[in-house]
Amino acid sequence: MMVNIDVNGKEYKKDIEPRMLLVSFLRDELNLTGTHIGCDTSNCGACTVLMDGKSIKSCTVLAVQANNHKITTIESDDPKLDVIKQAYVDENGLQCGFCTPGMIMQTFYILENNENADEEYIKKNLRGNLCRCTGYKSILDSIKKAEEKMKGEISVSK
Amino acid sequence: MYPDKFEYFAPDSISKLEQLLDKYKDDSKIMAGGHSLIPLLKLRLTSIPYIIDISNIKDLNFVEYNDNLEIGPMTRTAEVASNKIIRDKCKLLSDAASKVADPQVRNMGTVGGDICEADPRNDMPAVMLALNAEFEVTNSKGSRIIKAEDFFEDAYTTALESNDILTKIIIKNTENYYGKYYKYTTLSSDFAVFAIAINMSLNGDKTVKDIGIGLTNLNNTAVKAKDAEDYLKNKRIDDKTCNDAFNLLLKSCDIEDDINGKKEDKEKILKDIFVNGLKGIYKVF
Ligand code: FES
Ligand code: FES
Repeated sequence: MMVNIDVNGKEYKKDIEPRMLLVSFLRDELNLTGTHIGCDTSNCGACTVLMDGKSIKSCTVLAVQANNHKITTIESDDPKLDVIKQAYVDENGLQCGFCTPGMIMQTFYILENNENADEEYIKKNLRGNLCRCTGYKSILDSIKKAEEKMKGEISVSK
Repeated sequence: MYPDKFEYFAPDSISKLEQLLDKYKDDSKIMAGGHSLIPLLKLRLTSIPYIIDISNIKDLNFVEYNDNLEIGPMTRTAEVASNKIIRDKCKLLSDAASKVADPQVRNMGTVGGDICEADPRNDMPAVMLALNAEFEVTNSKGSRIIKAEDFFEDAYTTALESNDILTKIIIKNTENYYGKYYKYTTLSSDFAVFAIAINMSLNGDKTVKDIGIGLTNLNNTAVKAKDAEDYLKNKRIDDKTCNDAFNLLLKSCDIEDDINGKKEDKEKILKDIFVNGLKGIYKVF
């Protein structure tokens, strides 16, 4: 089946099998291997990407479901993502890094939806992302740091 | 993990959907968000030759209020949780929707899919039972209404025929009702060990005017605690009535020892949740 999917601002027209999962489309068809497959059963969130600005688990979405939609992945050059990535580096928000692309995309989603996300809100919205290394504390710190930075930059540009 | 091969359709109208269902009958299945179906396909627990994605049908995606609350089945769970009309008119539904799975799953999953899949662990069936919701069901021959009470027949089994489409969820018990969804989960799973949905309204003298109680994962399918509901009508909520109602509620359950705990432990927790839930809702009025 022919699909037309916008990934990080670029349109891709491809002829694919309907059973192809979105995560395989990204990794195998487009060679965008930043999106990881952790559990493959919609539990871990390593495969999180945004579809039309909403976070989803790309291991549980068919690529054909993304037909005519906009997908944003960890490879996107959105400057806000750079701020988040740097915050994860600064706060040691990763160890092995396997969960990290999903964590960062979910962080992006959280901060896009709530400029004043407090700890409780962040925790609630990280429920779908598992990390086997960090114990989450440094991830929370990274998100808070990214949030502060973004606020700072907004007020500077104002 | 890859699903078995299938053909895929994404019709943009209900009439086109009807045609496809009439053509492929039992070999086809409707997919809304796909968050129950795709995992089953990936694990090859099921294989379906024709999958019909309904996400392009605008007429199945709406939230309206005119005397009744009316919701399109394709409304995403995240939207149900945050929608202002639903929040104003039906606290139980927005509360329950916010407790389904995790944010990513709620962004794809839909209220109609949750209902029609009828997994005994799904949250919406019990909520619909507590709300005494009605479902408008349509096929190429016309529409009919099925009450939630008559809809859930067994695990993964509903009153829908293979060419039926859930086209509208109708909730009448909104004005002056207050409700909440009490969901008990373990940390490792977003599915309920069990959950109780309660929707209540009171008379002027503080007795219960109407109450709906739906139970998740306490039987083969979601069930309505009818005896407990009937008993509580026109009574006040106090220690004695809560206790009596709980004993009646237990009759609607089929609780067994399992990986989540022993029968008696689960009953104890269930009782705490039920009694505190009833009292908590009662206090709000
Ligand atoms: S790989 Fe998709 S949720 Fe784990
Ligand atoms: S950093 Fe290793 S799983 Fe999160």
